[in-house]
Amino acid sequence: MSFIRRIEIPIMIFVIFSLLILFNYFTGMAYEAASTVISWAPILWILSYIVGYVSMIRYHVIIIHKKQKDWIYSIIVLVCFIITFLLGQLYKPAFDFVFMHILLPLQVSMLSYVGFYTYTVFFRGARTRNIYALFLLVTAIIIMLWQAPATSAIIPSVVPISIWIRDVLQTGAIRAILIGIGLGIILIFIRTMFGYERSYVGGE
Amino acid sequence: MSAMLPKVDRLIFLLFLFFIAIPFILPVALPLPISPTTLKYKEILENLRKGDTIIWFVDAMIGAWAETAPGDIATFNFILEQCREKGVKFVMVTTFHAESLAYAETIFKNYLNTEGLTYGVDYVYLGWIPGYESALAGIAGNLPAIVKTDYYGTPISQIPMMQNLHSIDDFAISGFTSSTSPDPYIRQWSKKPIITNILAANIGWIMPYVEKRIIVAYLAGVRGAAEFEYLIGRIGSATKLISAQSTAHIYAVALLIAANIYYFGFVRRRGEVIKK
Amino acid sequence: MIPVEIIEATLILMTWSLLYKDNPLYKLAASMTIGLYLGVTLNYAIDSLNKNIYVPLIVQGKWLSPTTIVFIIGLLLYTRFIKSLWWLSRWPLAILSSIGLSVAVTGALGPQIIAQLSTPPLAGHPLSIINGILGVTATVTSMCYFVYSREHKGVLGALVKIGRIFLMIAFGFMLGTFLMSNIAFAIQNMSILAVPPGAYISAIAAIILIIVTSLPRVKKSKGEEMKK
Repeated sequence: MSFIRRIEIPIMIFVIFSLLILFNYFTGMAYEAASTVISWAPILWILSYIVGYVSMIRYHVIIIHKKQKDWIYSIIVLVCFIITFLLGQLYKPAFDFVFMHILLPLQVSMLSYVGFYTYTVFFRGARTRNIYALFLLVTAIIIMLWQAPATSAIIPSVVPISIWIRDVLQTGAIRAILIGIGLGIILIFIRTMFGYERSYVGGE
Repeated sequence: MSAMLPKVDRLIFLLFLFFIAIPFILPVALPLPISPTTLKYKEILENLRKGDTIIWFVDAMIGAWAETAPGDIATFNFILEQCREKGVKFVMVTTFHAESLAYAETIFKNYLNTEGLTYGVDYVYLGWIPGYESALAGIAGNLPAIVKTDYYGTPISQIPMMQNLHSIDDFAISGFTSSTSPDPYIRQWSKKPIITNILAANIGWIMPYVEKRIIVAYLAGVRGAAEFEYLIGRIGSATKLISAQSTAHIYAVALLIAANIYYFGFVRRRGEVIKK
Repeated sequence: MIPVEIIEATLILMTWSLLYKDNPLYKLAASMTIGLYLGVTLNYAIDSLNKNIYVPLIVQGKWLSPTTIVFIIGLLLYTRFIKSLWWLSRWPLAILSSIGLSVAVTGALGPQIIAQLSTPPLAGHPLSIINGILGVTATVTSMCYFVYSREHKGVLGALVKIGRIFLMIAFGFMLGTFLMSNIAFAIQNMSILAVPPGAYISAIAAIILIIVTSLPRVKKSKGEEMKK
C-alpha cells in the first residue's frame, strides 16, 4: 500500500504520457493513441475546475462558521453564488440579465482600478533617475502619443518613429524573452521528466 | 491598504475622470488615422475565397469586454458577410475558461447578424472545449476526437459543415481573441496563417511572430477596433470610446512630464540641499 | 421599470468608492463580484460536464468507453479533500500536466525557438541592413542580460549594458501600449456614468462626496469656535 502512495507513481504517469505524445510528434506513428490522450484533457480539466469551486465554498463556509473578520461579506458571496447558479439552471433570461447588467459592469469597474493606479504610477514612479529610466520614459511617451489617435494625427512624425521602435528595437528585445520562455518550457519539461520538478503534484 | 488614499492620488484620479468624461459630455469628432495593420487585417479577411474555412478561438475574459469585444463583434460580422457573399465557412470555439464562454456566448447570441445564413452549413459555434493549449492542440491534431458536440449539444457528425473538418489542414486560416498570452495559439496553430484581435498591451509581445509572418495581421485593442469599424462602415462601441482614449493618453503624457519636472525642480534640489 | 443604466451606474460607483476611502459599499460590490462570477462560471462548467460526461455515459449509455475511465481518473481529484486518500489526487494531475506540457514543448520548438533564431536577410536598402543589424544586436545583447551563470564583467558586462538599454526600450513600448488596455475599462464605465440616465446617479454621488468631504471641515471649524 505504501508503494502506490509514493510520489514516483505520478512521476511515472507523467513520463509515460509525455513519451507517448513526443513519440507521435517525432514519428507520427501513434496518432490515434496520442489524439485519444489529448482528448482526455477537457474532461480532466473540467473536473479539476470544479475542485476550485469546492475549495472556494469551503473557505467561505469556514469564515462564516468561525465568524471571522468580515464574515458577513462571505454570506453575500455565497448568496450571490447560489442565486446566480440557480438562475442559470432554472431561468436563463434572468441569468443573462445578471451577467450583462450586473456582473459585467462590476467586473469591468473592478478592473478599471488598473487604469487609475497606472496614473499614480506615472506620477510617483516614472521619474528619470538614471539613463535606463530615460530610455524607458522617452519610449513610453512617444508610444503614448502614437497610440492616441488624436495626437498621432496632430504630430504625424511620431508614427514612423514609433513603428521603427516597434519593429526593430522592441521586437529584437522581446524576441530574446520569447526564446528564453521557449527554452524555459523545454527545461521545465526535462526537469519534470527526470523527477526534479515535483511542484505540479504538490511536492513531496 | 490604508483607509484613505493620499490627497495627490485622489486629485490624479479626479483629473483622470474629468479627462475621460469630456468626450462623452461634449462629443467632438477627434481625428482617427487608419493604421496599415488594420488595413492588412481587413484585406486578409476580404481575400478569403469560396470554400475557405476560418476557425476563431474566442478566449477573452469577461473583464476584457471593453477592449476586445468591439473588435470581435466587427470582425465576426465581417466574416459572416464573407460567408453570405462568397460562401466562406466560419467556426467559432472557446478553449480557455468558463468566463470566455460567457463572453463568446454573449457575442454569439446578441451581436451577430446571421441573416441569410444557415447554422451548421455556413457557420457553427462549437461552444467550450476546456483545456486551453491541450484543447488547441487537440483541435489542430484530430478535431473529431476532442470535439464531440457543438454549443447546442448537437453531435458534430450531424453538422454538415463539420464533415470535412478533421484537423488544422482543413482550415484556410485561424484567428484568436485573447486577453492573456498569445503564445499557445502560435505554438499549436503556426502551420496556417494566424490573425488576431488582442489587447493593445500585447502588441509588443506578438511582434516577433508578425515579423516571421506567423501572425499575418492583427487588430490592436480599442483603436484597432475603431479603425476596423470605420473601414467596414459599421459604427460600433469602439468608435464611441476612442475619443476618450485620446484625451486620457494626453493626460498621461502631461502627468509623466509634470512628474519629472516636479522631481527635478523640487524633490532632487531639496535632496541636494539636505546633503550639503 | 428602472433603466439598466441606473443599476449599472450604481454598481460602478459602489466599486469606485474605494478611490476615496475603504468602505462597506465597496466591500459589498467586491463580494457580489466574486459570488456572481462563481455562479456564472459554475453554470458553464456544469453545462460542459453535462456535455462531456453525462450525455455520453448516461443518456447515450456508452458505459464501456474511454470516457468512463477518464471520468473515474478525474474523480480522483476530489480525494484531496479526504486526508487519508489525498495522494490519489496526484495521478490525474500528473496526466493533465503531462498533456499540457508535452503539447507546449512540441509546439514551442518551431515558432517560438527555431523560427525566432533565423536572422532577417541582411541585404537590400542600406537602412534595412542597419535595422537588421540593430534587431540582431537587440536580441543577442538582451539574451546576455539573462545570463546569470557568469558575472556581468568585461565583454559580457558591456553587452549586458547595451542589452539593458534595448530591454528598457521594449518595456517603455509596453508601458505605452499598456495604457490603452488599462484605461479601456474605466472609459467603458464612463460611457455609462457620463450620459443620462447614468449621469443622474453620478450627480447624486458627486453631491454625497462633496458633503462627506466637507463634513470633517465643518466639524473642525465648529470645534475651534467652541474652544474660543
